[in-house]
This record gives sequence, structure tokens and C-alpha cells, in this order.
Amino acid sequence: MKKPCLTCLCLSTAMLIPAMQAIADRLPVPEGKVLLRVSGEIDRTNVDDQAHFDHAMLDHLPRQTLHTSTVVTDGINRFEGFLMSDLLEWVGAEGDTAAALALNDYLIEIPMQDFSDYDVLVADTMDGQRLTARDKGPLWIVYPRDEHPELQDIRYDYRWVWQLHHLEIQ
Amino acid sequence: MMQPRRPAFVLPGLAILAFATFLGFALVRMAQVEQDMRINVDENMLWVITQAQVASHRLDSAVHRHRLGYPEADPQLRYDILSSRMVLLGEGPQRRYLERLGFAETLEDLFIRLHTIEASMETLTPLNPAASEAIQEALAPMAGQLNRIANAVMVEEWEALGARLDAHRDGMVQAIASVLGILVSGLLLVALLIINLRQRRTAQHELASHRDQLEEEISRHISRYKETADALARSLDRERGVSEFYRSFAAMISHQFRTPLAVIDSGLQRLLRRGDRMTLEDRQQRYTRLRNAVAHMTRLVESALTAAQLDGGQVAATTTSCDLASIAQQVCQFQTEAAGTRRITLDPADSPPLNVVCDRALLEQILANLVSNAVKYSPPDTPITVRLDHDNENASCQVQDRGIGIPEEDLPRLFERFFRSHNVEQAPGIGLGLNIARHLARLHRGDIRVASREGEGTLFTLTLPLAAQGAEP
Repeated sequence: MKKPCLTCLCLSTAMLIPAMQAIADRLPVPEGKVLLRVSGEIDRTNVDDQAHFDHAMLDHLPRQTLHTSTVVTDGINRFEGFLMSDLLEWVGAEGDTAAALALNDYLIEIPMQDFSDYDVLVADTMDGQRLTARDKGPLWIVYPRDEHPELQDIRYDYRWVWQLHHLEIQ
Repeated sequence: MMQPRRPAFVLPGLAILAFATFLGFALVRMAQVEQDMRINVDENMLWVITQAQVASHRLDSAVHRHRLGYPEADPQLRYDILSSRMVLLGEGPQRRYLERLGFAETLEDLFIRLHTIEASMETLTPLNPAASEAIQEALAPMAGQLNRIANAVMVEEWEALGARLDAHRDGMVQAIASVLGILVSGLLLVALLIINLRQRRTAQHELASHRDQLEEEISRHISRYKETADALARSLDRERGVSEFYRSFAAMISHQFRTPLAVIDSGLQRLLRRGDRMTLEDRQQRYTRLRNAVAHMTRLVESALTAAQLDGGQVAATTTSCDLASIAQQVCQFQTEAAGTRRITLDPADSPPLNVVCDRALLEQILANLVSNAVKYSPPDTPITVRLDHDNENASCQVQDRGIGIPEEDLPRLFERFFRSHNVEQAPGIGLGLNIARHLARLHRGDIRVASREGEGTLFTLTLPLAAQGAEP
């Protein structure tokens, strides 16, 4: 069931490679409302020593789809967004942990290892609906929980930071 | 003796069944606990509720500060956050949880208030105190309601945790009990195994000893048969010997008796015819010669009888501890007197006692035979030596003469009954003396050996086992 989706993703990723290369060298300055700020040990910045992203910029990252259940919703949900690893690569993040900060000041330190071990998604869409701040948006860190039994653990559940708006690479 | 077979299998069977049952039960219980522990504690409701409470308080504060004109106050963001917390509460698992605790109506009420706040948010400006008042009015009971929910959720979570721990503990206690059961049934099995091994070993031992017994019995039977066969063979030999004896005896009588009988007959005839004309002395001489012939015949009969008795196994030695030295001395003295000669010497002349187990009379007979033979078959001017000696086990008595000796070809047959060496055929004798002497020596578990050279002399050696030290008189 998931295989065809992954194939689609690979194709879309392949098509986006030229676009990625175009933006590889420098970070554009966000024009719309800033959704995500990345600070700390990063190579590329656009505002002071931080990297700020608006919707349009984040949409440049290769789109991914992930079907998984969550501990706070019923059934299997379809999430769309980009891989955390792609974002971190884009900003040239080099560190051991990423401190994820939510709008309600919820702060969780996530080992960078997670993003290389698993395809951790930064979702902006759930079941075809854009996530908003009034729900769990605009960005929600989603782990491929159903694919990896070891992720079905409370010690991973708290890393599902929603209303994500800041990443501090340490 | 043997245990009935069925019960022998019942106990091990039950032990194995118990072992398997306990093991299975313990595994199931532990698997259940493990499974239950694997299930994620997804009931994080207390945190969710408190976050909603915090969000409501922060919205209240933001609205207040917004009205006071603080530019950084962002009531819209705070509303969004409160809204997101409320959405979370209204979603699947969270909603069901609260409904189970009986907060369905409260939840509906909270959403109505949230909508009220949302409506007021649209008109919220620092210059519109009515909107901020409406929001704060709606928020005030919200905080209370959320607090009650938090309270109930806390109790519920702790109860659930307690129940869960109870269940785990019960499962563990049962598993431990099962492990004890496993231990007991395992020990029982081990005990049964050991008993079984022991029984097997005992059975093997019994079997082995039974086999040994059988072998022993068989060998006993065999030896009994052998004994019987030997006895049979012996008695057959004896019978043969006896019949041989009688044949020899008959031949001996016909040969040996004839001479003395002829001597007696002719002597008597001469006395009858010319007795009147003989002097008294002459007659005396002839009577004496006749008596000697009779005496010779008497000895002949006695010897033949002794030989016959030996053949019939009728001579029993009544053994006691006797001093070979004193017997030898006595025999030498007697023979010296009988032969009227002083040429017999005992060496050493005063030997310490040499105790042997023997029948004194029979031993005297043996030695007398050997010494008289030496006297008979050696010239009167040659010495005869009787030499006593002993080693650790045996005493020996050697009788040596410097007489005519025995031809080498006759030595092997010397002790045969009625055998007489070629060079003594003319001498009086019947060929029984040495045969009897060796018989008697062997009756005492001793022996007689001979060494001789014709014309030089003969050496007879009698050996007898020494008596035990304690048996000395």
C-alpha cells in the first residue's frame, strides 16, 4: 500500500533536484509570514544568524507523504510535508541535537540521529487539510510510527512536536 | 518384590504434566505482563488538560495586556493555542476518555465558550473593552471547568496506574508461583531420575551377582564332576594297581618263597635223616638257619601286607610334631646294633631338634629301610653317613653309602613296586622296601630322591616339611 506512494515520492524528489540545486547556494529572504526559524549550528542563514522560512520557501523542499497513526487521533492519517533531514541539509545543520520549540513554548530536544535513522516528516498537511495554529499547525513533526515498532514508545511520542516554529541546532 | 508397572509411570507422568503446565502458565502470564507493558501509555491526559489550562490563562493575560496597550501581547496567537488544545481535547481518544469520566457535557460547554471567545476575538481591539470583557468572562468559568477535569483525570490516571501495577504484580506473583511449581516438579523429576538410576544400578548389581552365583554354581558342579571323575579314575587306578599287585605278589611268592621254602625243606630233611648223628651245636646252627628262613618269609609277608594296605589307602598317618634328629639317631643306633657294625655315623652327631609333622612309627620305618639298604648294599668296611639338614620349609635326612651303587638305567624305576636292580638280584630282597618308603614319605607330604653311581655309592635324600614354629614340644 505504501510502496507506490514511496515510488511517487522518489519521482517527485528526482524532478525537484534542479530546483534544489538552484537554491543550494544561498537562502532566499522570506517574503510571506515566517513559519519556521532555524538557528544554532547552521551554515546558511538569511536573517541575522538564523534561517527563516515562509510557506513558499518550505514548498521548495521535496514533498513527502507519510501514512501513519498517531497517539492523539483515530485511524491512519495521511501527512504531507518535507523531510526534516532535507531541511537540515539545506541549512547545513551540523549538531547532535535539535531543540524543537512550539508556539506554546513546548521545548523538546531531539537527537539529530533520529532524522538520519528515520524518515521524520515535518508535516504541514493532514488528510489533505493544511494544518493551522488553531489545530496542530502550521508544522508538526511526525515520525513513521507504523513502519518502525520501536517508535511506538512514549519516549518517541513526546518528540512529535506540533505548532513547531523554531529549531535550534546544538 | 517387583513394583507393579503402572504406578511406576504415573508419578513421572504427573510430574512432567505439572512441569509443563506450570511452565506454560508462567510463560503465558509473563507474556501477558510483557505485552501489557509494551502497550504505550498513551493516556497523557493530565498534561493535555494542564496545557489547556495554561493556554486559557495565557489568553486571559494576553487579552488583559492587549487592552492595557502592551504591543507584544498577541491575543490572537494565544487564542490559536487555546483553540488547538481544545481541538485536541475534542478529538478521538481524548474525547472518549473525557466522556468515559462523564465530562461530555462539560466538553460541549467548553466548545460553546470557545466559540463565544472566537466571535469576540474578531472585534478585539484595545479600544473595545467590551470584547475583552466578554472574552475574560467566558474564560473565567473555563479555568474552573478545566481544573475539575484535571482533578478527575489525575485521580483516573493514578487509579489506572495502580490497577495496572496491581495486574502486573498479580501476574508476576502467579508467574513466581508457577516458577516455584516448576522448581518443585523439576526437583521431583530429578529425584525420580536419581531413584531410577539407583534402581537400575541395583538391578545391574543384582544381575551381576546372580550371574556370578550362577557361574560359581556351575564351576562348583563342574569341579564336583571333576572330583567324581578323578575319584573314579583314582579308584580305577587303585583297582588296576591292586590287580597288578596281586599278579606281582603271586609272581613274588612263586619266586621268593620257593628259595626259603627249599632251604627249610632241605634243612628239615637233613635233620630228619642225620639229626641223630649231628652234634648239638650243629643242630642248633641248622635250627637257627631254618628260623632265619622263616623270619625272612615273615618279613616278606609283612612287607607285602604293608604295600597292600598302602594300595588300599588303609595306612593313615597320625601326625604329630616329632624330632627328626632324635628318630635318626635312634634308627642309626638300632641299625648299628642289628648289623653289629660301627660304621654308621650321624652328622651332626648332636643335631638340634628338627621338628617335622609325621607319624613317628612310619618315619622310623622309612629311615630304617634307607639305612638297612645302605648296610646291605655296601661292603662292611665302608662308611655310611646319615646327614641332617634343613632349609626354611623342609627338613632333610641324607643316607649315603660307598657301596655297589645303582646302574643308571635302573634309577628311573627304582621306586617301582617289586623292582629290583640288576646288580642285586642275587641278594635277598623283594623290591618293596623303597616303594613303601616313598609311599610313606609322600603320605607325609615329603619325598625321597636318589642319586647314585654304579660302583661308587648311593645317596638317598628324605625331605619332610618342617612343623610350624609354635608346634615345637
